[in-house]
Amino acid sequence: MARVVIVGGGWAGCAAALTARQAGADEVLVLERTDSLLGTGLVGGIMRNNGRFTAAEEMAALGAGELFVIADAAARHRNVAFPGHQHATLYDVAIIEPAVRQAVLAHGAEVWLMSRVTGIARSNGSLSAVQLENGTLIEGDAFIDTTGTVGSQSFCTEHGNGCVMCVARCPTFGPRTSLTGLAGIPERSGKRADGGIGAMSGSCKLNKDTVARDLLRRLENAGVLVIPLPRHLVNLHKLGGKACQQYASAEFAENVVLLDTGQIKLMTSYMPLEQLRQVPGLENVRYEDPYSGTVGNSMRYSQLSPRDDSLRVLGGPENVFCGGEKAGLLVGHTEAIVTGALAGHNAVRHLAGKQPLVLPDTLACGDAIGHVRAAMETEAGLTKKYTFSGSVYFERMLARGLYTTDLEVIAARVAAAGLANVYQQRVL
Amino acid sequence: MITAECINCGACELDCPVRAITPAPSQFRIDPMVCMECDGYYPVPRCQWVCPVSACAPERESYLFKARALTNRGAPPVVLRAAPPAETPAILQGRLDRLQKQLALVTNKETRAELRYAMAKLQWQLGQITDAEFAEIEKFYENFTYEWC
Repeated sequence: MARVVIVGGGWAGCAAALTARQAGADEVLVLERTDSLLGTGLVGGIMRNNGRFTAAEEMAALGAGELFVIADAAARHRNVAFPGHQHATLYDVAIIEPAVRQAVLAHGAEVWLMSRVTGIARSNGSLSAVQLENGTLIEGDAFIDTTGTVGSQSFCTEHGNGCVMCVARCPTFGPRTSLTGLAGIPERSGKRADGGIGAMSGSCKLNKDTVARDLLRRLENAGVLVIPLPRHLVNLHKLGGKACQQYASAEFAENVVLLDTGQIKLMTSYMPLEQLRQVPGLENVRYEDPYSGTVGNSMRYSQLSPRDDSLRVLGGPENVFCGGEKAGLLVGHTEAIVTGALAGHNAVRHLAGKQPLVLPDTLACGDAIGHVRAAMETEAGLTKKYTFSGSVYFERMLARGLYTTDLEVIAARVAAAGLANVYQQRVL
Repeated sequence: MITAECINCGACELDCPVRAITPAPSQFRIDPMVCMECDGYYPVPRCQWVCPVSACAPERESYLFKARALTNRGAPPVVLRAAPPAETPAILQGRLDRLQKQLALVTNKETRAELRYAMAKLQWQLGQITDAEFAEIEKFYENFTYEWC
C-alpha cells in the first residue's frame, strides 16, 4: 500500500492528487486547512494568458490536462485580451471549487477539510506521519508540501499592511503552516526591490451588485473593462511591491482594469474605497476580497522550500516533495498545476524506487522549473516573480522560442522529449 | 501574550511593575521570561486591568481560552471520499454473469454453495426471483452445513 499525503488543497495539491493517483498510488489524501479546496484559486480566475497557454497545452500533452479542461468548462470568458495579455480564459470562481472537488474524489483521492497540519513524526531519515491540530496522526509513505506561501496574519502585519481579511481566513482556520518548516528545513523568502520581504497579492475582488448597471453589462459582455483613472489618483509607485509583476505595467496604474471572473477582479493590490468610488460607474462599490481592500492585500512568498528540479525538498527527510508557490516564486494557477502535477508524479516514482522525472528545458514547464530554481539561489533572483504570463519569465520564453499557441508544435515537442502522456502511465 | 486586538496605545507598558512589556513591530508584547503575572504587586495582572480593548492576557489559561474563542482551532476534520458507484442493473447483471462462469469452473462443493447463494442474492436484487423464493433460498443456506457436502 503506497500512501501519498498532500498537505494543502490548492491548485497544486489537487494537481498532485490527480497525478499521484494516475501514477499508481493506492491511497492519496489531500489535507486542507479551510473548508474548501483551491485556496487562493477561489478568488483567482485567469488562465491561458500569454505563455500560460503553451504551458497548459504542454500539460495536456503530458497527460495532466484534466484540471485545465475543468477550468475551461467553468470559463465565463475565453480569448480575452487586456493590457499586455492575450487569449486569457477567465474561469468562474463561483463554480470552480465543486467541479475540482468532484474530479479529485472521482480519481479516488480523499479530501480532508478543516485539517490543519501542526506537527510531524519521523523515522529513519524520512517523514512517517503528519499530525493535525486536533491530534489526529496521519501516516504516509510520501508527503507533498503544497501549503503555499500566503499569510499568516503576523506575516501580513509585519511585512504588509496588516490582516486585511482575505480568502485565506487565518483567524478562523488557523494560519497556514509549512510542512517544510515543520520538518526543520531552512526556507527562503522572496524579496522586494526595496529590500523588504514577501510581496503583496496583485488583485482585489469587487461585489457585482454594487457597480453601475451599464458598467456591469459592458464588463459581462466583453470580460474585460479598462477605465482610465482620474489624473489625481494615478500612483505608479504602488506597482513595485506587487506579487504579480505581469500585471505591474504602467497601464495598470493609469487605468482601472476590471475582469469578469464571477466577481469583479480589480487588477490592483489595493485602493482606498474613497478613491475607487471616484471612478465613474464605481460610485457605490464595495470589496468582496480582501474585505479590507481599502488598506492592503495578503502578503506572499515568505517560505520557499529548497528543492531540486524533480521538486524533491532538499536538506531534510527524503520523502518530501513540494509544489505551487512553495516550489519557488512562481505566480499563478497554471504554474501551481505544473509544479503540483510533477511533485505528485515524482512522489510515486520515489515510492517505486524509480528515477524521478525531470522535465527537459525544451518544454516551457521544464524550463520554468529549472530556471526558477537557479534564479532563487541568487539574491537578485529572489526579488523577481516568475510566470508564464508575463514579466521576466515570459520574456525568457519568447527569447528561447518556447512560446507558441500551435497545438501541433506543442504536441511534437512533448513527443520529441519522449514524454507524451507520461503522467498517465502507472509507475507503481 | 497580547493578542492581535492590541491597538498600540502603550498603557500596559507604562503600568507594568516589572517592565516586561515592550513595543513590537505592530503591537506591544509581553516578555514571558520577565512577566510575573503581577504576583505580589496587584490582585489582577495590571496590563489586563488597564488595557482598553482586553488584548492583554498574561496568564497561560486566559491566553488559551482566548485562542480557542478567537478561532476554530482543533475542530475534527471533515473527510470526503468518493461514493462507491451506484449498483445499476447492468453492474449487477455483469457480476451475476461472472459468478455463473466461475460456477462452471468450480468443483469444490463448499465454494459452489457460496457461489449459488451469492447468485441467488443478485437474482433477487435484479427482480429475477421473488421475495418468497429468495427467503426460501436464504433459509436453506442459513441452515446449510458443510457436512452435507
